[in-house]
Amino acid sequence: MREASGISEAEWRALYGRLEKPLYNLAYRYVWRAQESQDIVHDAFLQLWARRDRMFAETADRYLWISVLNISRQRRRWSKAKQFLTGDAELLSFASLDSPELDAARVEEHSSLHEAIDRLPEKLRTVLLLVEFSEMSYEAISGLLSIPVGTVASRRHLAMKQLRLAFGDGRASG
Amino acid sequence: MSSPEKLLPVLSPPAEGWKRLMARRDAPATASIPWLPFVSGSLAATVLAAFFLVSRDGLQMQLNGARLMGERSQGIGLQMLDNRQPTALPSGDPNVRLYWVEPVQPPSD
Repeated sequence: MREASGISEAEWRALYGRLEKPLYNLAYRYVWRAQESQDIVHDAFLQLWARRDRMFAETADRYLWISVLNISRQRRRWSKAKQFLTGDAELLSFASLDSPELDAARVEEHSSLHEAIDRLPEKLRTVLLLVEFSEMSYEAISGLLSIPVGTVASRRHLAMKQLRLAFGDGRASG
Repeated sequence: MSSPEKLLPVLSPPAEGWKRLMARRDAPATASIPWLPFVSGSLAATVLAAFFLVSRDGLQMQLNGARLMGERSQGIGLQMLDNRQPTALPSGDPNVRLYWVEPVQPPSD
């Protein structure tokens, strides 16, 4: 078994420059909060940094995607548990959309869309978000999630179908 | 037909993310308790401690009572000796009392 080549600081920085935005978009569709989404991405990068001597540069991408997925799911589960225990509806409120690119005029439209994404089954949401944001091939995603390539395609198709049905083609087109 | 780009627009993260990441990376390590495992471990320890410390005597008494009740339910009556007066016998444990009992002899037909 070959020894890990390790990841230099320059490589780590390059990874951040390339993957910050797509990873952020994945995390955001789990927690729906801009700063928390960025924190999740940072957590993943800090974990990678802590393990840099034991990592191979060529598998760092995969590590980061899996980390962000796992941390996002964990944060989301915790938010839902807190919401259940405290009755604080704001914890997962779609009205608290705070992405810097959304203005007030589009909040209602995005609230509906976010609800539709949030209602997707976990398996469909994961595949959809990876396909749309990771720029990985279906083969790479199938390896990441340990599912057949055909399953990646079918889950993505099903997820889009459910979103279009829930959100409505009329409002999303144009 | 709505496109993925419309349904899932690519958003930009908050500004100065790299600066914040570096600040976190280079911050001095603080000894922090990972509170979730700490809380769940504390709860588990509390439950175990309560089981062993609080209910031990009660559990023992219940077990004895259950045994006696079990015997009684099988038709074995018990009576205290010494003219049906409770006679405590010395035991090594101040929380334990011993009484002389004997099975009640069923009336012979």
